[in-house]
Amino acid sequence: MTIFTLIINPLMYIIPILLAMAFLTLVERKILGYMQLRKGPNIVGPYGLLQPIADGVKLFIKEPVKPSTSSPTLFLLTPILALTLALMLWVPLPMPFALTDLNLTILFILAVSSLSVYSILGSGWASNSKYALIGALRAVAQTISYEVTLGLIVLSLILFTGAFTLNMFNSAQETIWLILPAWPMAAMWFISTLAETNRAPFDLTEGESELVSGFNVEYAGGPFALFFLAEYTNILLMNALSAILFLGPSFNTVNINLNWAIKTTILAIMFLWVRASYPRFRYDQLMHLVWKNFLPLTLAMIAWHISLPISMAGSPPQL
Amino acid sequence: MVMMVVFSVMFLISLIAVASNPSPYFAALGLMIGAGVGCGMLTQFGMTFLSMILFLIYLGGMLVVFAYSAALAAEPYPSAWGSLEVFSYVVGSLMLVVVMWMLLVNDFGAFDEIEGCVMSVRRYVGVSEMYNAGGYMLLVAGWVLLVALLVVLELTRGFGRGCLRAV
Amino acid sequence: MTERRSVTEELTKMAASKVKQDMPPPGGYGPFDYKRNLPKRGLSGYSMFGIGIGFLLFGYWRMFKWNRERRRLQMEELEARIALLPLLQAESDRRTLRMLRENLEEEANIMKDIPDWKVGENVFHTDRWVSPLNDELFNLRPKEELLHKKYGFQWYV
Repeated sequence: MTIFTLIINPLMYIIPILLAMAFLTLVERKILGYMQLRKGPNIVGPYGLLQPIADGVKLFIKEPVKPSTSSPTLFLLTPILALTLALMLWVPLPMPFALTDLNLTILFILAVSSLSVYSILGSGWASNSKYALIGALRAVAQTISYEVTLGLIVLSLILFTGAFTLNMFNSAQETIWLILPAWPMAAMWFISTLAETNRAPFDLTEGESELVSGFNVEYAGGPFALFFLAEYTNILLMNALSAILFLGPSFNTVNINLNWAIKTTILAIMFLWVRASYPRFRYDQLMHLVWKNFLPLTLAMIAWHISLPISMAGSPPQL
Repeated sequence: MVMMVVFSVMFLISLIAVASNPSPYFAALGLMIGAGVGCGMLTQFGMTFLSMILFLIYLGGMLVVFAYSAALAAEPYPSAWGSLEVFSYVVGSLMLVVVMWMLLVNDFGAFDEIEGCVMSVRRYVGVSEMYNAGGYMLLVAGWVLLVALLVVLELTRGFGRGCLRAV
Repeated sequence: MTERRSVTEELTKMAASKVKQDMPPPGGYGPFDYKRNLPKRGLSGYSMFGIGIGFLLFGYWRMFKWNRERRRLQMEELEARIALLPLLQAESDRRTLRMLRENLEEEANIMKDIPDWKVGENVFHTDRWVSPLNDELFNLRPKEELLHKKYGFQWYV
């Protein structure tokens, strides 16, 4: 019994997630390739299908570099922390039955995803390199700034659905997807998730031209692969979450979560599309967007979302 | 209750790690562990909502800023518990804990458990419970906050001196 | 010497010949079209704004209607629970009393050699019924049962 709950169950989550994430990287390279009128990876396996596996094998058999001036424990600990947190975030997601059925799912997800900041900061600091440190500081400032709006947007959605549980979002969206009554929030949420996962056009932390590669310059081989896995897992998770919050995947149909998976995939492809289309933001524009546009807007929308259901007698059931 | 004891001991150790005056990074680390473990203690009391909110705001927001500033400050030889000075602080604060325990332990009202009720779901009464049962502990904590406020005010007062300068 | 003279001669000849200097046309150039010229396509801003507000209003209406319905469903559920509560309470009381009795019998069995031992003596300074603590009630049972009792209904929290 214990072996099932402690080992097999998490593995049944981890393996498909990592597989999905591996193929997300392939899809990204393919789509970017076709958008730039080239083919993308097409050598390894049919249509390049085995490319992510080849990449993974390459990364993990490479020698992990350990800079002699780094703080070794923290340096090796932070990639592990990053991947652990990224995988932990999937645990309470309802699909349609969660591994742990939390009451405060959304709070849990926000709290754990806010912890991933520490892995970035720790890796940047422990590398003992200017590029890594500045990249980490940028990443942290950006991530925690956008977390504020993410939290506020979620809060205003909760005022429509009535509970912190993600299951409640399913039952609340049975008649209408939340993207309709809250499309401004949806737009802001989508942009904030782009920024939260450090995706283009908010990939200031990578900043190849000025910061080499951001907080993970000093990492190579296995530890770098862990960061990479964590990043793409987070992207998939954020899209899965957006699908649950706004696109109302109904879990009580026959095709249980095919619906959800399709919506997640569409959102992920939108991430790639955005990456292919837009140039990178300037740092002050990035901060301006969140602190001077999104934050006042979300605060106003919260007030609106509190008062409107009350005045229209349409507040959700609360327990 | 085993978890409770483990959490309490870890909480104490991490707070001593903060109070023993090591380099800011390690103090931040201690505070991080302390905050996480404190949230764990709250869940053991059944206050999951309060614990989640505390975790989110404190660990996810405020402490990140602390760690951020600590990472900016360059320090060539960071000192942890290995150094003599810090270790003497550790011993001193441990003794202080023991003395406080002897003097004040009956007044730590926040840790009173209502019989049989410890495991009940008090998800949404967390804050009111804290104000109800906080006792002198809450008074002391509030006093500390007031002092901290005055210290910050004094540090940032005026333009050309102190830590904060108009650049 | 001869070479130099030939160069100067060349230069004077060039100046003398009618070289057309590159000058603006008489009256200056015409107006230059430097303004960004985006083709106007799709809906106008006002109509997109209107459609957006329309979506919002429709969404609010639909959402609030469903929320009212959900409140009704919740009320129904709570009432069903209230109706069932006496039954569940009775079952729980019965289970508690049975376990308490088992405990007391075991206590009598253990303490039979000690004179003046009152089995099941009230440890509280009151005559009222005091529900036994879970730790006390499950003292003789396997640990799993106590844990299940404690965390059973909120193991997921």
